[in-house]
Amino acid sequence: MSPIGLNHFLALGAVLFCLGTYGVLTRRNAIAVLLSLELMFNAVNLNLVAFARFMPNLDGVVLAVFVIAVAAAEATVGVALVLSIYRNFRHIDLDQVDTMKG
Amino acid sequence: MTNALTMLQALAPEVVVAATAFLVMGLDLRRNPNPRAQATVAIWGLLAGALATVPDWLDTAASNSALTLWGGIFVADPLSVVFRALACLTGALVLLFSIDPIDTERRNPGDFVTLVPFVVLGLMLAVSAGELLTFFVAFEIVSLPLYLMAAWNRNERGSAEAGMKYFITGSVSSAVMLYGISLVFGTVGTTFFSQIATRYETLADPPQAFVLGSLMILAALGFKIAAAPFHIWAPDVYQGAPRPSAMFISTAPKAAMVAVMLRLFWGTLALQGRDFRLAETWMVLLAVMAILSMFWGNLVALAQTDIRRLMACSGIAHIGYTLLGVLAASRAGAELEGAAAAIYYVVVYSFANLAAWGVIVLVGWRTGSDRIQDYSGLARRSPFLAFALLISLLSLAGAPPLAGFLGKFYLFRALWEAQPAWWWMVLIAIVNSVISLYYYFGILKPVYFGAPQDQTSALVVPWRFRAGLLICLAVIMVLGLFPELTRITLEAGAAILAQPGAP
Repeated sequence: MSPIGLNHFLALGAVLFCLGTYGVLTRRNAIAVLLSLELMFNAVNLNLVAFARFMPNLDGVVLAVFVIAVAAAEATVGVALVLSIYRNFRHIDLDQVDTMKG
Repeated sequence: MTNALTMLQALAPEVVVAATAFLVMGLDLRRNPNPRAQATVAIWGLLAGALATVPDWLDTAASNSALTLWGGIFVADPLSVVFRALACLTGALVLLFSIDPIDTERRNPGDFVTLVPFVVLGLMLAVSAGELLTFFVAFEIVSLPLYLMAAWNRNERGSAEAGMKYFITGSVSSAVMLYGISLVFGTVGTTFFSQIATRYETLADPPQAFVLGSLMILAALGFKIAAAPFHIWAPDVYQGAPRPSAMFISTAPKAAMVAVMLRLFWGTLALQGRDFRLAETWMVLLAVMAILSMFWGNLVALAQTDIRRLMACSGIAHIGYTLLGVLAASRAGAELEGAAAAIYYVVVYSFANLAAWGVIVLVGWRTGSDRIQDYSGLARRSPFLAFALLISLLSLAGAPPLAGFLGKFYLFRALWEAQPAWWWMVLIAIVNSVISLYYYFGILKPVYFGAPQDQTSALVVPWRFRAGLLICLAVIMVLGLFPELTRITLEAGAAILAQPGAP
C-alpha cells in the first residue's frame, strides 16, 4: 500500500467541497445551509494545508489562516441574516422564503 | 524603492477612505447620532479619496508604470486609479441619493451610511490587488457589507429574503473562488498575478487542476457581476433590497469586478505568456457568457412590469456587452482596444445606471411603488425627473450622442477588429441593442405620454437628488460629446500591458 500522498488530501477536499455544494443546494433549513457553506470553506482549507505540506514554503498555511478568518466573518453575517429571516417569516425554511416571482 | 513616502502616496486614497469609514462608524456610536451629518462626512471623505488618486494618476499614467507595494501585493497603476476614483464617486453619489429616503423611513440610517465607505474601501483594494489572496479578502470586504445592506430594512420580508438570497449565492461563489484559488496556488505555487503565467509556462506537465481552478475563479467573478448563467439572484435581490442598496449593488461591484477580470484573466494570464495555451479555452466561455447574458437580460426584461426587476435584467444584458470587450481583449493584437472599450463601457454604465436608479429611488420613496405603470405621467409631475430618466435610459439603450452610444460603438469595433470572423457576435450584440430599445421606450412612453394616475400632485425633487442627477447627466453627456476624454480609459488599458514584472 502506498503512503498517503497529496492526491489523497485533494480527493478528500474535493469530496468535502461537493458535499457542501450538495448541502447548500438541497437543504431547506437555513442553519443547515450555513453549515454546508462552512464545509465548502473547510474543503478549501484542507486543500491549502495539504499543498503547503508538500511545498517548500508555508504560503499555503498563511492562505488557510485568512480563509478561516473570512469564513468566520461570513458565518457571522449569515447568522444575522437567519435571525432577520426568522423575525419576518417566523420560520427558517428557505423553500418558503420565496415571495418574489418574476 | 518603496520608501515611506511613495507608500503613503500610493495608499493615500485607501487611507482617506478607511479613516472616513471609521469616523462615520464612530459618529454612529454617539448617544444621538445624526445620520445626515454622518452622510455628509462620508460624502466629503469619499470625494477626498477620489481626489487623493490624482497623484497616483500623474505618477503612473505619464510613464505608464505602476507603483507596487510589498513586493506586488498592492498595485497602483492607471487601471486601479480609474476604478478607485470610480468607486469613491459611486459611493458618494449613492449616499447623496439615499440620505433623504433612508432618514425619513425611521429604520436605522446610521448603519447604512456606515457600510457605504467600507464597501468602497474593499472595492479600492480589490482593483489594486496584485495577488489572489489580497484580492479575495478585499472582495469579502465588499461582499459582507453588501449582504447586510440588502437585508437592511429589518421589518420587511422582501428585504430579509433579498439579503438571504444574495448571501447564499454570494457565499457559494466566494467558496468556489477560493477553491479555484487553492487549485491555482497548488499547481503553480504562487498567488502573485505577475508570476502565475510564467510559472505555468515552465511546468513540464501542466496539470488540468490549473485550468479547473482558473475557470472556477472566472465562474465566481461571473456570479459577482451577474453574468448569465450565474445571474439568477439579481432580479430578486434588486427587487427586494431597499432601493438605495439595490442602486449600490447594481453599479459599484460590477465595475470593479470587470476591472479585476481584465487584470487577472487578460492582463496576467493571457498576456504574460503570449501564446498562453489557456486563452482559447476561456474565450469560448466568455463568448457563451456574453451571448447568454445579452439574450437573457434583454428578452426577460421585455416581460417585466416592475422597474427594479427590469433594471436587473438590463444590468445583466449590459454585463453581456462588457464581456464582449473582455473577449476582444483576449485576442492578441486587439488587447488595448478591447480593454479600453470594456473600461469605458462600465464607467458609462455606472453613471447612467446611477441616474436611472436615482429617479427610481426618489419615485419609489415618494409613491411607494416600482410598477412601471405608476411612472405614467411623470413628465407632468416632474419634468426634471422625466428628463433625467430619458437621458439615462437613452444612454443605456445606446442612442447618440450620449456616452452609451460611443461605449457600444467602441465595444463592437474592438470586437470586429479583434477577429472579423466574429461578425456574427457583433450582429447578435446589435440585435440585442435593438431589443433593449423596446423596453426602454416601454418606460419612457408612459412617462411622457401617459396620463398621471391617481396622484396628480407635483413631485418635489430635493436638492440632493437634483445635484446628484445633474452630475450623472453631465458625465453621460460630456463623455459622449468629447470622446477625446476616453484617452483616460485607453491609458488605463495600456497599464495592463505594462504589468509590473516579478517582484
